[in-house]
Amino acid sequence: MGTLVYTELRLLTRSMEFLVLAVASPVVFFLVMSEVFGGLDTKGAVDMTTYIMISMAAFGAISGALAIGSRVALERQAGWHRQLRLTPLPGWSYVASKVAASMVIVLPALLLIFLAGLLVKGVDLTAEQWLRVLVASWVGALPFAVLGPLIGLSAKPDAVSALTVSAFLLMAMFGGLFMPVEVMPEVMATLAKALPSFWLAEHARNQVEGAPIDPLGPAVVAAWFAVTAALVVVLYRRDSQRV
Amino acid sequence: MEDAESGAAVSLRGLRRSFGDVRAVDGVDLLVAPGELVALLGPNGAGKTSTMEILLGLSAPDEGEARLFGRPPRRAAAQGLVGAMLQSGGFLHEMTGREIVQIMAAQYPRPLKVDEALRRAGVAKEARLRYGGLSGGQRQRIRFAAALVCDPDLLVLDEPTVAMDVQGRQDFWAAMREYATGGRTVLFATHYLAEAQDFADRVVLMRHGRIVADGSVAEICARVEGRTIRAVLDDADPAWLRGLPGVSAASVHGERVELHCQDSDRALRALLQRPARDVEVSAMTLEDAFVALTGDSGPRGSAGGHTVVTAAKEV
Repeated sequence: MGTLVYTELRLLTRSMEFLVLAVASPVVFFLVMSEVFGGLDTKGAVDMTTYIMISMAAFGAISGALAIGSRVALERQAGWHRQLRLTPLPGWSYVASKVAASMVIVLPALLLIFLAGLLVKGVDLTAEQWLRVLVASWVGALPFAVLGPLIGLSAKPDAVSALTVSAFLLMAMFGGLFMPVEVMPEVMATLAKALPSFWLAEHARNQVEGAPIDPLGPAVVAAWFAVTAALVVVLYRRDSQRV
Repeated sequence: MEDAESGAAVSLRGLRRSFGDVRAVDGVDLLVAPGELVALLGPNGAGKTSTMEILLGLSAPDEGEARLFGRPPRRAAAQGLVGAMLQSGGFLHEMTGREIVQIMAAQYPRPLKVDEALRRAGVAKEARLRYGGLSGGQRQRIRFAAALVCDPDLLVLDEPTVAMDVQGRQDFWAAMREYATGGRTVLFATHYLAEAQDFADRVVLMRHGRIVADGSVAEICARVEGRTIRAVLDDADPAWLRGLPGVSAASVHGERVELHCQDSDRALRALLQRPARDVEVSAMTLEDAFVALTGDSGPRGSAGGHTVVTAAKEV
């Protein structure tokens, strides 16, 4: 499986569209948005530039993870999974390699935004805070690394990119990455707390504030991860019988 | 080989597989001994690909059982005993040929060296290029290298030379001969009868999901009794031709007529009632036998010899 993940990552570095979509575009969003809204007061412990930086890091992590996982659909169309099924490779490891590759690619996407925050926007955090923010954002991306293959296994190849884009836009919008939950109507704010995208950013903000973590957060993230992973297993099994 | 079945490279028993109303595989029994080179022939939709998918463990039969070297297909694959080139199995266009073969090699317990597999398949030079940029024939050879790299005892190939030019095909079969000399087993489906004739020691003919003939090329040709009559006839009516005494199958291409006959003498007399010209009577070739045995007007696979009588096994 190691070779599979390694080759996957090498392929991704060759794909310009992917690098632009997943890694560069959140950085651009961050720089533009912090230029426009950076002066506003959040009335919280996290200043607006840091707030936007964390939101856009979450956005980048989500779009990157979903983009990789949903490649499953195209690879199925090409017949790659059938070819792998002829090998001793256990069936689940194909999906697992996608999850692993997503988690690996999320790291540089996050680092690039944090670097832009540090160098361009002068976000001022201690080394420990940076590290905690990074780890919180990275772990928070896990449900999305599983959601990608779920989309890839359930959608038709020509519908996949539309579905992936809708998924990450909805997750970003309703998870409060484009506008803070504090300014949302109450219904939307409640909905946000049911989404892993909100908790991805919220847990990272907690690390800056040094605030305790709301136990609801890890519960929501774990539930999303478990349900999504279970669905992936079900779909994968059904798929292996059909081929 | 004290026990043919447990020692068989491939053993298929009573395989059936339907897709909706279509019976793709309708009672297939087949034993292939180690070292045999077997060609699977049949028109499109005869069930060749479905049979191969079952024997590779890619799909489960509705009934019956497939075993490779006495093991379930998935286990044989996990032990690196089987290499396969699928018709629909594909590789990602962004990968280079070498990466593809590397990935496959990495999954197996005792693979060949990647360079060795590429060399044997005759694509050592092209392997650094991306798969998507290769010609059809080069892609097929990368696929061959990928099937070969696990150093399998059994190779299963579904139309391996499709998209290859004449030279490519010759090179491919030369590479295959080299591989097969070690006593290894090859089962391949093909549309090119000449390939079956030149390469296989045994030909299995399928039609409508069943095996209708099974034997050496000579045996298959002998199975179809009689001869072929070729003639030129204006306004030929296929139905009239088929109705002629002694004729088992007839085809019409423009004014050219081809009759497969059990009794060519009677057929000839009847045919000459019409102004047929350029008449030619010849013994059966494999192609004639193929047409006679797999065409819809041909005889059912129920005669003796090496034919597996599948119809009799139906409940």
